[in-house]
Amino acid sequence: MNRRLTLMDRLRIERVLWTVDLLTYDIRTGGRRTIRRDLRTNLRAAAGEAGVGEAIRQLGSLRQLARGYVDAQYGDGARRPRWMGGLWWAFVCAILLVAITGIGAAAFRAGVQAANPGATGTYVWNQVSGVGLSTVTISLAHGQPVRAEITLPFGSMLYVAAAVILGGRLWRLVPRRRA
Amino acid sequence: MGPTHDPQLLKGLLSPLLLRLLAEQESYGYELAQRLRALGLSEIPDGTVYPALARLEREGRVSSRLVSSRSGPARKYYRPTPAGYAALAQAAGDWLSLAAVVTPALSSSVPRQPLPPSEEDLP
Repeated sequence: MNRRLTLMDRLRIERVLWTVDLLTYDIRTGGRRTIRRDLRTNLRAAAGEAGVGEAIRQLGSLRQLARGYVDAQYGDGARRPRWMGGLWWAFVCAILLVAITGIGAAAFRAGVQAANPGATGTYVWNQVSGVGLSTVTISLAHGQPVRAEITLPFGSMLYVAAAVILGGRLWRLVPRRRA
Repeated sequence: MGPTHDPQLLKGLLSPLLLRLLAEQESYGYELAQRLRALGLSEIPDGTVYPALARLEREGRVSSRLVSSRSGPARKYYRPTPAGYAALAQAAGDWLSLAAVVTPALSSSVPRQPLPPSEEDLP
């Protein structure tokens, strides 16, 4: 029997496809497009026969399905980079850099104001730039902040690059030397 | 409900089973999953069958063609290639030779207690 799929059924199928697409991010775009198309066809056929809930249940673990596709593409346990992991760790690293710099800037301003409540002038904190973090510049007028500037030096990008390399296991792009 | 089968045991047999079913009749992914269930292999999730087909295609053991369907988008039908037929023959031979050794060993009656060590092994 072929059931007619409702809009909600189609949306549930698309949600599954979106999840699988996210989990197979390491596969190139064209390959993922083929996977989505095939999976959509099969899921719709299954939903037409057994209902969308049963079709999704019969699919089993989406994580296992995605791993199966990645292994099918590259071979079992193949050395391949994890682009999604690299992007994720770059994001986390950037958030941490901004958070550390923000907290540091607030602490620096509080320190200047505590040392001289009526301070006027421009104060620069560049101790952290030595380790590749930001330089903080604040301008105060009678103890009140009028301007704050945080510059991210090029060195801070090294942390993000390191996160991409480590998180994405990019060394796997280097061909193995034959023994 | 039929007997359950160990998914780990089935894992290695999935490719030959798919090739065997495709050698009988061209099928698309979901249809193959249904045919496996009809054989009594209901433990194999559809999500294992689809990547296995992708792998067989990448390895050149099956070829595919799109066939339009009245009830939805065009379906990808698979059939074995000559390499697929060769792989099927090889896998079937391996399985039958393994089964010929393992089946008598596992199907003979199990003694109530294991025999003691032979005298040669005693101190």
